Amino acid sequence: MQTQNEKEYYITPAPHVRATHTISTMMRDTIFALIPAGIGAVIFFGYYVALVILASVVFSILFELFVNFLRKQKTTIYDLSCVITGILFAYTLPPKIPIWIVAIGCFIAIVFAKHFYGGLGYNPFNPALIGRAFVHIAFPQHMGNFSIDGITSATPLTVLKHFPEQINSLPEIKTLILGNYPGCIGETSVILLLLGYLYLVARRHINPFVPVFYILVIALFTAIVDLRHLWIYLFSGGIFLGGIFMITDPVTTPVTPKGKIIFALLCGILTCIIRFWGSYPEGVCFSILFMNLFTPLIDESTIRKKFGYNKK
Amino acid sequence: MGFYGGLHPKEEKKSRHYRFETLPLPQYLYLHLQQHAGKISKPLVKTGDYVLKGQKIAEADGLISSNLHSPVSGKVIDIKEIYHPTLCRKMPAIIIENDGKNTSVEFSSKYKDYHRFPKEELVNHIKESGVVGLGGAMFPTHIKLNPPKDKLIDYVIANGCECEPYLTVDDRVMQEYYDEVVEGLRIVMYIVDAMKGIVVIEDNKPEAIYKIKQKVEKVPNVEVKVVKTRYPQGAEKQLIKTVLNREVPSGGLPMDVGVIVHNVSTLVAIYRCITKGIPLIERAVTISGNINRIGNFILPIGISIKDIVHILNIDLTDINKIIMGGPMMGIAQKTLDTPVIKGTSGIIFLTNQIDDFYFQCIRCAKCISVCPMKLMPNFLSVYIEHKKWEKLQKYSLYDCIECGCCSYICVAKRPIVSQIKYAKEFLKIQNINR
Repeated sequence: MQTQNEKEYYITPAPHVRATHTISTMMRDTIFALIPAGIGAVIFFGYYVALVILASVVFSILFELFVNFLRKQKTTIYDLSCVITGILFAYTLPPKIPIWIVAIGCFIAIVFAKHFYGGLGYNPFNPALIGRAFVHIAFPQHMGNFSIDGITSATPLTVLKHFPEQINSLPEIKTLILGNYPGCIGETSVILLLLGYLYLVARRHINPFVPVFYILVIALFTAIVDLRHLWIYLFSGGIFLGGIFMITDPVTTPVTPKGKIIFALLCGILTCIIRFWGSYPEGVCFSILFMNLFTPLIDESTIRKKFGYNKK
Repeated sequence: MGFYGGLHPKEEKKSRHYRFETLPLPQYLYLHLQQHAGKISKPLVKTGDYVLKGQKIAEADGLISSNLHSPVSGKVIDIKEIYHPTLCRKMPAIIIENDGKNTSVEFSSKYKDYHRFPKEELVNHIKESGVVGLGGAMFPTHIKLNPPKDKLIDYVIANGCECEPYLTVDDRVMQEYYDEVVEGLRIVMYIVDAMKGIVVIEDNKPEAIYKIKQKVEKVPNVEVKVVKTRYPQGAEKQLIKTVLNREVPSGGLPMDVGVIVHNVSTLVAIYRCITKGIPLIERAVTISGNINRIGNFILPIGISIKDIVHILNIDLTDINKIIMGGPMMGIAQKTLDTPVIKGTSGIIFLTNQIDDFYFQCIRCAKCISVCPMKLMPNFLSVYIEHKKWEKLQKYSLYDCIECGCCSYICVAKRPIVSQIKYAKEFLKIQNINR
């Protein structure tokens, strides 16, 4: 038994008190913020959606474990980032997606987009969006299938782009905000996504201005190009899902306050350019992936003026 | 107004209602020769000498250095190297065996009416008394009071912003010695020819605000300013920014913007040495943490933690970490043998969960939003980890004030501030070798 005099005490560097949050609590909060939109999707599109989300999460965790095994590292599933990738990936898929496509997308997202670059913190692109972009290009026929209850229908954005004759069948603003119309799983309900936004802001995990600027610049751009269908462009498609959960992703977006805003503005402009003049009806996914490329450049060029460098 | 960034850690100021107590003097006192920023002092005594309380036992070596006085009467039994509480290595110290008689040199001062004396004489007297900054940095006070002739000082700030968790000494000093704080401030104002003195207190110390306000009412040119509680409000540069909205330039000193900042405890020490002739031989220390006996104490410089634990009968069974200073910037101690030095504002006993792992940076940017110097701690941390020393200049490594906000807030639990300290030290050694 040690006496008091012999006992050696821990020497650790300051600070000796630390905030209680960790990566996993931060990710847990993001998962909480994503839950309302998921519940809404199950109500609007049926129980198969729940299966898709669950499958996506399970596949993501399995692939994460698989990579951990290959890389001979301690398991990283407890940081919960793979769960978020799974949920976000599922949210960008149409409700009737076959499960095998979900599995392929998760593989691309976790193995290619995340771990090939070194895992969480090192991935230059948003893994969920890489997965989505891959299945979007590889399986267009499945990704364009938004049928509900056997009736084939198109998303409002597809209608505006490719079927102008069906323009009268577009949903009303109330439906758009509530979310009960054809679209990807997690992106249709504006109000439920906003709940998640409020939660993330309250928990101080995201900069509240980033989504606001993103949505504002898209609103402005759209108002100039096509004012009549402003609400359709704004409330359908992935703007709220992307604006709240993807351009605020810490790893792949700039870290400086100014850089975050610039990133959001450029993402918004790019989204609109793809929507109006590109060949796809929706541009959120590709615009964010494209802008992810510029994150280091934006970071380097928006270093703020440090304390004590002000010329008075 | 206010400074950028910062945070508000859990205050834990449990000892704020405990009045100052004095302890019986221990048998041995360990007086480090390095109790100030600058050059180590030269000992004036040798083994076997008999010293009186208040006798000068070590002398300043050069300009940026300080004198040292014995807090007790007794015999010098050894001068040897023992652990230093802030430098974390063995440093020479004078060990005095207390004879229990407490025979003192006569403390007297002819400067009671300090207005009649030239300023240089007062500064010299303060230098003679070994006063250093008691907030923790231990910068010799006489240097601060002797600004170059081309720097005009218009404000003197008394720093009553004790923003560290647990610590309550400055709070108690302002409540119990409010007279001496304000008088000390006036002495400093006289010495540096400042027009105005401001006592800055954070709003979580209402009793201190009340006491100081009452005192200040009758004093011309001195006012009280209450500021929001926020760590690191007590850091000089942040304090000046909040109070006067002036930015101390990078690499500069507060006197570059016409301000001098003194901790309230330092002002008390200045007052005592000018009016009573008492050198700096004791200081106020908070003892707190997860222990059975907490409080605020007036301790002689040189008392070891072991003696404090013994005298106060502190139960150490659950304690695994002992910190000198506050928990945000203080230094963990390896043994109980380390003594109190002039800069020790608190001894905190903690039962901490020790995390010895950290994750990769996920770029959450929380450190960027809390950094009071507006640096980018995340990049500094990653570049230091990957030994990209040449990148550090661009991200202003040397502007870091080492407040620890970034490490506190980091979700990946990265030890950012200690990486920065390491890099500073590493580059210093590298530059010397080059």
